[in-house]
Amino acid sequence: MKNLKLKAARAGLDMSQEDLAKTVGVSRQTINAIEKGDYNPSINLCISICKALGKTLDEIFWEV
Amino acid sequence: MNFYGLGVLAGLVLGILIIVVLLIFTKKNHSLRGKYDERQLIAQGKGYKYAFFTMLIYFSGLVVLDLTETFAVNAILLLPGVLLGVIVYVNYAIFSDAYFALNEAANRCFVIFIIAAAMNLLSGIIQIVDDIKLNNPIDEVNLYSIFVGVTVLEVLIVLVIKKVIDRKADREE
Repeated sequence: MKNLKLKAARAGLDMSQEDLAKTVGVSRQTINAIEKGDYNPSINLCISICKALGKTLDEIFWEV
Repeated sequence: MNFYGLGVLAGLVLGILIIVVLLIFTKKNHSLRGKYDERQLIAQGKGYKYAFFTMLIYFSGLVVLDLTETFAVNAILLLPGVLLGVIVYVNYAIFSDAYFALNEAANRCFVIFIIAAAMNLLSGIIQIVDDIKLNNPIDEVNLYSIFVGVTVLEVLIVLVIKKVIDRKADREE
């Protein structure tokens, strides 16, 4: 399932996939795969992404 | 140790030195080690698994051919098995975006691949053509050069295809 909340949060901060990838120390393709729902990140990577975007885990990764 | 042994040892040391220099040259931060993220490491693990089973099937096939005496298996057939495993792993890693490390300069790798493919193919072909001209039996070492050259060329072609696919996908997004 696509993670549109991650894409929206990233776009809200005017960050590209490349910018977010560099901030959390992964490849751009990994951020792309998470947004497309092709890859389930580890909890450590989820936390890093949330910190980079200034969001909580629930806001980005919890499906309602 | 005789001169032949010393020559082999010197060649090995030089080879290792060249690999170390190339590993440093291809990294953006001049580090020796490549840094991969968690998704890349998982993809590489799958690639190793597929490569392992490919080699297992290949070498099992050779054993069966040898035992049933349907085909004379000799040492020259061992290297293609190893290279087949390399091709399976590398192709899987390339298409999973797990081949290049985060700190790797892909363009520099392209240059090295082009040089490696050209050197192996040219040296192998030139030596084999010379052997044929002189009516000498073809030296197995030259066939190894061609096998390695073809492998590197295949990897190079797959890298170019992947780059084209990625560019197309980026334009569509």
